[in-house]
Amino acid sequence: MSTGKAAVAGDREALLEQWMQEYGTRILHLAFFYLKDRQLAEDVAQEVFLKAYQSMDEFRGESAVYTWLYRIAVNLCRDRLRSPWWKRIFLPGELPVVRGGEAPDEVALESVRNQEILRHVLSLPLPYREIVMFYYYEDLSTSEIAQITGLPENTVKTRLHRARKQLKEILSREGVTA
Amino acid sequence: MNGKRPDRIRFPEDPALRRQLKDAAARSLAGWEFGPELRARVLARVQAQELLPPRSRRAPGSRWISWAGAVAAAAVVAGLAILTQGGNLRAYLDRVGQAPAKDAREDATRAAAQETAPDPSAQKGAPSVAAQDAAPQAVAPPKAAEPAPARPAEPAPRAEAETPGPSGLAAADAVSPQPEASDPPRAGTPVVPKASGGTPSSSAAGAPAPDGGGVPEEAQGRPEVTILLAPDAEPAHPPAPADGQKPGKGGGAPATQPGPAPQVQADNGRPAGAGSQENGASDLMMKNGVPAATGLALEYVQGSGAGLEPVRLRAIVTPEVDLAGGLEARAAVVTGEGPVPLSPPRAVRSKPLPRGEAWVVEFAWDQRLGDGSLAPTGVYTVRVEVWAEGLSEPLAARELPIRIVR
Repeated sequence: MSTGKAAVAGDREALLEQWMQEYGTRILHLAFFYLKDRQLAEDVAQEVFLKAYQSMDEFRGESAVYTWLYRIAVNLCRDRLRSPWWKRIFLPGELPVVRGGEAPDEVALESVRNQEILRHVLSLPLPYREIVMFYYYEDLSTSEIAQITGLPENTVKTRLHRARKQLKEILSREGVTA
Repeated sequence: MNGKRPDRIRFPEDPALRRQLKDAAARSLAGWEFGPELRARVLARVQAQELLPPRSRRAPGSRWISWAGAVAAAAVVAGLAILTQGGNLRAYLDRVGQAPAKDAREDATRAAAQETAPDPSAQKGAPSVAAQDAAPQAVAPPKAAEPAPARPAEPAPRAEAETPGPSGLAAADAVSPQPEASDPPRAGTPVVPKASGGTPSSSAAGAPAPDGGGVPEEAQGRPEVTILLAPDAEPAHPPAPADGQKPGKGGGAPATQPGPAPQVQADNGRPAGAGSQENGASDLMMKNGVPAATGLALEYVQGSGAGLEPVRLRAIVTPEVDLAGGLEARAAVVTGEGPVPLSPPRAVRSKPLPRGEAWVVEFAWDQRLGDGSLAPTGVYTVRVEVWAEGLSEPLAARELPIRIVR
């Protein structure tokens, strides 16, 4: 993966296109975990790559591309969540219904349960939700998560532990645990 | 769960459960990808941004120069004002002290216009759809103090009398729907050159007061249109109907394209060359085939569907690039019978909307369906679209669920 420094405009766009193909969907889903809204997630995902393009020259290749992109995404999502109007967007207690694909009858129940699990993960407070998402869905290590989120690794571990505990309580209460 | 550690949830230690957790996301988000369309949008935005002068290319210190110039200009103006008062500082201060009176004058003008309005019920709640049809209502003006993103000094020159300064744009827009509602007969009038009558400016923004009885800028944008929203945002729009035609109920008519408003574009008080900036921005969006990205957020202002109070929501438009005037926000409740326009069904912005600034518009729904009946209990979707002149698809669209409880 070349850095953007030596890339001319065409190369930069090609590199951007490559990044989008490679990481776009993951960035999109990451943003969804933060924002819990598909349209907003799409907006943010686009902004991520715009910013990545603008900052391409600043990317020195010291970290993996996805780590860098994730960090941009995390910052953008946090900015959105920090905006004063954000918390009033959703009706209280209302979580977005995540639509699944057309599930055959035999797996319909499993699909429902999957959605329930996801719904409960999404209901976690953001500090826990982001850790769970990175750790379980993206299979990142705690050090990588620390790098992306800008948190100390010990904080990541603490939050991961508490997130597990809280998630367990929620799932047990709802009877969703496997 | 394998039951080995009952005191802890075992996602990391239980591969099966971990897999299930991943499956939950994979299944639920299946098919939702950062596909070619989104990638094309990003590339279009990249190309659009490259055509604009990036902030980093500005001369260092230009911002300070702008500020210094503004301060110097203000000092000169203040000095001239004092001099024109014959050195009578007291008289000058008295005159300055009358500044709030301008606001009062504006309010009085607005109140007088509201008195002449046929149906101000949207301000009070639960206007009928027919009433909306006859006179599109504006909802309560958004908070003028709604924080607009900070914007550095932009080089684009503006006519002082036409547009307030950068800090005033958002605030001026915040009240933009009100003149449209308070002056419904003008809402459907053809475009009137701005030079003929001043524009309403937000007094909160400290902008110059209109020179009396001017046609509200938002009201003079373009001819009135009927249903302004298609559920699927199809770009195929027939020409706008004649002025004064009532918006259809339930969305029988498809969305209409904003009519051209050459006077607004041409006669905006900009210096030579600046006018083409608007067209340039428009061309820019068209050139790429994909509209320049525009952020659009919806938020509830009031009303969760309980009772009969109108559900109010606020749309906040934040462009990624400088947008020319001729923007239009359209709002409707999407029902199975077609869209039901909100009140007002649209809001027009003829002024440019620079990147980094926000255009705030409020809409209200009186909880009535297209046939005038109260919407039964259920979840309804409010859809707001932002259109720009010359584009065949909306710049941005956003939906927000509303739960009506009876």
